[in-house]
Amino acid sequence: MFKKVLVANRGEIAVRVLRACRELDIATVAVYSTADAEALHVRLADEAVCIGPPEAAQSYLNVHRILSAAEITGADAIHPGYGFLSERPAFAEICTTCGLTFIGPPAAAMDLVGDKARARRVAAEAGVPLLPGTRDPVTDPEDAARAAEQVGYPLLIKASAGGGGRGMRLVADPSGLEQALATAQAEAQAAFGDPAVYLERFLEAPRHVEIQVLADAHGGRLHLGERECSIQRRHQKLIEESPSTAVDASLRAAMGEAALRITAASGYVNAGTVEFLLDEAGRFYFMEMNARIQVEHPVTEAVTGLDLVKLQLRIAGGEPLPLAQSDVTLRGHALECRINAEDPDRFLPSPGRLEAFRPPGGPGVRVDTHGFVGASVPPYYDSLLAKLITVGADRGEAVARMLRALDEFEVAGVATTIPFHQKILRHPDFLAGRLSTRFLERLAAAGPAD
Amino acid sequence: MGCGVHTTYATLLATRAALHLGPCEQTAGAKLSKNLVGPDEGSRGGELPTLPRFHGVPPMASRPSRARAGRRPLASRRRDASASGRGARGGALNLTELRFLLRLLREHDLEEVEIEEGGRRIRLRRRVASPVSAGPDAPPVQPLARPAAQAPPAAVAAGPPPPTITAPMVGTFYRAPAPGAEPFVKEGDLVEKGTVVGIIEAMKLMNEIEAEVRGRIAAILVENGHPVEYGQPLFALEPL
Repeated sequence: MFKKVLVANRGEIAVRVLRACRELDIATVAVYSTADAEALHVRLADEAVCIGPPEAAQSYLNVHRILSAAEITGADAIHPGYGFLSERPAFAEICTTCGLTFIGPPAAAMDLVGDKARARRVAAEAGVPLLPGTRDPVTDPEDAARAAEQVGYPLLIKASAGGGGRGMRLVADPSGLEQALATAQAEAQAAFGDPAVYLERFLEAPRHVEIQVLADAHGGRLHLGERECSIQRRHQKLIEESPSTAVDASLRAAMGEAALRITAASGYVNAGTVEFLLDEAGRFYFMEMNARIQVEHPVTEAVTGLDLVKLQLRIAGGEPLPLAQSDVTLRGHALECRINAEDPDRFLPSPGRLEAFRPPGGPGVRVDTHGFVGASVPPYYDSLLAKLITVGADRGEAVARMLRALDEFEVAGVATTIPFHQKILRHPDFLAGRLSTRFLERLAAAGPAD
Repeated sequence: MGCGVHTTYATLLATRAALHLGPCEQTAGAKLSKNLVGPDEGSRGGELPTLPRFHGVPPMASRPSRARAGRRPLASRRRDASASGRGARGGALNLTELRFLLRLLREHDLEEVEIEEGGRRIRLRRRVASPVSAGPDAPPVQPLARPAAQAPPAAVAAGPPPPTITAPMVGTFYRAPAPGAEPFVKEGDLVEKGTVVGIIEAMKLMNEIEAEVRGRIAAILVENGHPVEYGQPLFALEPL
């Protein structure tokens, strides 16, 4: 096991990793920008090294300074957290070159799964269902019509070079295809300088369901069930839960198996998450794999009783997984609300200083945060202030506890999204488990109904 | 980077303690102070917080030097045991304890602190300067600045803080171009903008540190071969 781990991150995840290290008797090193000089992760670590000014590019993303900090403190491993450098294969690689263990997957596996096109190829080869779509760009209308037969309607025409929702056209049926193709190609040319487009099946109201996987360096692999993450705003998850109300034991087994096939085929080691879209008929399609510990990992910890970050450390330290798939059981139900320092109506960031900060407690309540009275919430980084996790014997109890906990949570000095969560948790569709990635959009469209 | 901020200079009056501190330690930078009691934990009816469980200056692991062609091998890095962060209890005042006391002064806005413990007595008196001339990299959350109106009376002259040369990177600080060579600068030397004042080594690369402003070296704040972090004051300058 490592003697000393440097945590190359900040905020609540840095605190999380430091705690796991402490429980394993591993000495800890925090790195911080000048904006985080008084931050909780700095206070909790055994040693701390200032690595730059507030801007992330000069501090938490500054590979040279982070590695220098590891060098001067004699750290033997680095945990990258999530975000920042956690999914940069070059960083994973340079750690290894410098004799530091990178706590995460091998650089090659990270690279592979991070490349959407390659990941999809690996998934397809592993027999994992993909959302029907064309592999190569379509050019002319006949080509498109033929491909569209395969893909099925409704479909999206997407720019190959695109992103951010631009260069996408929805086509409901064959009659609209030719026109939509021409427009999409013109838009793609104008926006990205490349008219290449491809077709992809459009799911009306899918759920975002992801599978947590763990793989050790000795061929041991297992999955820890699913997390339902459909409540998203602009692709940012806000509320997560496990298990999903739409997944039964056999679907879980099928999705888990598919996730493990991708994990094996990509040579993935350590903790990872395989994301799927689940349609209303219960069919699942591979979307992508995330090569890091995720924000919402506590939800899985709550229903499995496992400590995922300690398992990451153990795996990186060369240990085999301490349990088999048959030992994994999901008990109870867990929810997580991501409480951001943002205006609850317009979601604009609300940096400042915490004048009051009193998180909830009691049975089934967990709070992962870097906040404390007097802490500053700097404007330079993401706005996640606290993760509020509740667990109960069933979904009803988890929801009741979450409502109680949200009501107890007192924060002053910055705006938070607590009121937003209180609203969602009381919504009949949420309570009935009627979720999809369009949940918030539909809520907003329905107007202020409550 | 030349006009970093450092307003707290402590006058140490130790009675029975032997201070194993060279001139470079007297005006200590506070940036490596670690794991200290935060403001909301400190006020327990006058009781002083206990000294930190961990000592702020990290031990140097001597790493085997992986000298490659074209790069100079490193001298082995041995830290002066008397200045070690893991200080001797009940004897010399070590750097970590000093920094802890300086921080007490700052955080509780004290002018003077006197501590008697285990047979030694230490008094620190703080000279408070006028508001911080914050450079772009000055930490916004450190309560270093005090308005001039609250500056203590007496022989302490308040004025703008002297500029310092701070570390622009993380690594190990060396005062000379090679082991055994003359240091780049000594106390009292005049430096111009661009004068090389030291080296910070990181990952086997030597980086020359240059003065950003003209001035005279008033104090050397870091010992040769010690680790430094970003923003850590290396030299105090007297402006000309």
